[in-house]
Amino acid sequence: MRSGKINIWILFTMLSLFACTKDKEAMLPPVEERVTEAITNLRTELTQPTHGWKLEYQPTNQSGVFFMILEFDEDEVHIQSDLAENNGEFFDHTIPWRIDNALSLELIFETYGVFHYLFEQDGATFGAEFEWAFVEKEGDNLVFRSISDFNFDRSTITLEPAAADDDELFARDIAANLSAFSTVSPKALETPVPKQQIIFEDSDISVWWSLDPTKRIITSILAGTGSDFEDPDFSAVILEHNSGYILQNGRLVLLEPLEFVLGGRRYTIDEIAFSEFSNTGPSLCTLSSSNGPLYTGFISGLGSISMVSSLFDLEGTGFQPIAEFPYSVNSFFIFDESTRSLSEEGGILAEKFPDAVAFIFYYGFESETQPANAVGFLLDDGNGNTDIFLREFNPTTTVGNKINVVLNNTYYHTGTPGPDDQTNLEEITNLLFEGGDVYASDFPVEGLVVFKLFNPCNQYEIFLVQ
Amino acid sequence: MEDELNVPVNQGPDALRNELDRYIDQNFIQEYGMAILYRYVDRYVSPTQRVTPPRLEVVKPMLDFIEDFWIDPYISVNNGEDFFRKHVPAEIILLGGLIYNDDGTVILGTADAGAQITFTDVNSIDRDDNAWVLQQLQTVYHEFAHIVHQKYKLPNAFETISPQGYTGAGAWFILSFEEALQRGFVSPYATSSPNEDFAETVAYFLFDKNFNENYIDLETNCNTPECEMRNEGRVLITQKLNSILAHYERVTGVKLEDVREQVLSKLQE
Repeated sequence: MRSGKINIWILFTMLSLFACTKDKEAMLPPVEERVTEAITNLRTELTQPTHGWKLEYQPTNQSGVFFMILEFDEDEVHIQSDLAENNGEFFDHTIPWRIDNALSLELIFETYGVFHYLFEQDGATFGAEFEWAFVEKEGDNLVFRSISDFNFDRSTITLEPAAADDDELFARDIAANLSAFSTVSPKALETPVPKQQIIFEDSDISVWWSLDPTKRIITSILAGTGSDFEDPDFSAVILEHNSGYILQNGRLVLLEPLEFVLGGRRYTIDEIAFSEFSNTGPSLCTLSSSNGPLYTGFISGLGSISMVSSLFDLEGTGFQPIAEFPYSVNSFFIFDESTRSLSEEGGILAEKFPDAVAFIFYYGFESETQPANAVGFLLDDGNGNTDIFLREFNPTTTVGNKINVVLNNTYYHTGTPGPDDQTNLEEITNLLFEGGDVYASDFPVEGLVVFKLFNPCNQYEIFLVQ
Repeated sequence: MEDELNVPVNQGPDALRNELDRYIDQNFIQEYGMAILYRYVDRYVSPTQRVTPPRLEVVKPMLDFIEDFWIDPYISVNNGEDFFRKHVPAEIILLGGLIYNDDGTVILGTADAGAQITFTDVNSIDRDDNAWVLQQLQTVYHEFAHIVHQKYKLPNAFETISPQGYTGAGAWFILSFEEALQRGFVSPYATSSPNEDFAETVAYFLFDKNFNENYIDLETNCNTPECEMRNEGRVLITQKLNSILAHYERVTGVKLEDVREQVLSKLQE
């Protein structure tokens, strides 16, 4: 009996709830009207703040943070950002926007701007976004979630009402100065990521890292005593540390501080306060009369630092002499400063040696008939006749990842040279090894050991397969 | 509350919101019944594809390019204007960059059953960049050619001219241009199906100023197997081109040779 009373009570309550819901639905305006109202309300929210919205945008958990201020009007949004790429195109730009109603209210940045630039990185797999689903209003802030992120951990952005002086937080000069280090980096078949050497003036150590100004990621590679790999007392520790960073108030702040021990001393780098930028740093090309970038600054607890360009690559130190066989590559994989293959139509290799099928780099090769150190080409006339034509260089060693190639005038030919072959080989090899120094770096290819040799004087690049 | 609801919510992607929208409305929508879509809308591509819209400032120059190199060459030849107006796709989509598939490949241009042509890489617009210009022309001529075979079918027995050379949608990209030519095709992609062969041959014929030299004229003093195979390929391409030219003229009234002449003169300007 008691059980029956409870059941009747539950049934009555359920009926009341349904009735209540139906009554509420009956009181609601039509869907179209509610959608229009919701869109209007969000548009009103976005256009409301006098000084717009500020945003610290971190596209992925691994990347750094971009500071932005967005001011919405009826049709367009004025976006200020601290992304210096594309010659500062995205420092200040205005594009159209709209609110869509799909699965939820969606904020769409309709034409190309800073969000789209970041979205396109790494073949559009980096993880940035320009379509945002409205999540909620949190106090005065508006929260949106990425619509198209591939992963389940979708990125969110929080728009906070900006203060009148928030534009003073921008550190665009630092962003532009750091981008200036991008000028001398290998770039054929890869996105160039500039590398720097951070010289600690007061403690005589250096840190080598790569700094990706587009993703705002610093990958620390090595910390060593002194500033030169040729120093016989050089000692180092390998660093495997990645961190995003943010630029604000004249500082580069690491999201994950870098800590290491060297020579019994513990070092911690959490931020750099930059002071002077100039083009008075060392040049990586021995022939160059112009200098490279130099950025000075200060790290709390560690003192003054100088940041200069570097081409150090830890895996590149593995480019060592091989007695058993030469390094080689399909002749297509030699590129000029515009990343154009020298074997393409109009390229010097296509012009001088159209029959070249491979580039060969003899480095410590042990043979009774062939030279130990030489560079040149494997030629194939298409009728099954092949020929190796080489120019020798003086014995050398890999210091760090730098190889000094001093060409001499000794040539080696397995066949009968054509009348212009020697002159042509001299011209091409002089170009490839202009300045004498090339820097090896690792180029990841599954199942192969592949290096790149980069010439800092003319920015030519040669792939070599071990 | 009523007042608030009356606030204009602008703002569909198709609304006339600025001077550019009004220009498009007047010169493309009202003129040809062809919408130009430059604001991002996610339905333009499949969920597995990732694209970006163009920069606002490149849209007008791109429209000028489309007029100069696609619309004008067609409407300035005999029967061309009538053909163009009757067969123009309903939507032209402009994308800022390439179409990135989630398998890592990229798409340079697409068309959808005659209803839509998509231009990619519009942000790189540069009339002095030969590679960019030819890429855009290849896209639009190729996609516009699809409309012809979709509506009027392929030329009679077209697919029997080089039947051994076709590869398939999943295999064409392992061929080089040289191998494609030896099989009797203007490009590796042309080997993927008779429809693509038709569209590629039309496109290359219209924009490649060296078409005859590359694909029609036989090499003389041919004494290597490779050279002989290239010449055999050229014979097949010549047969296919002739059937395409006759078919085009018969079903559309347009002589593609005249369109080509217009295009080449534009390219020389």
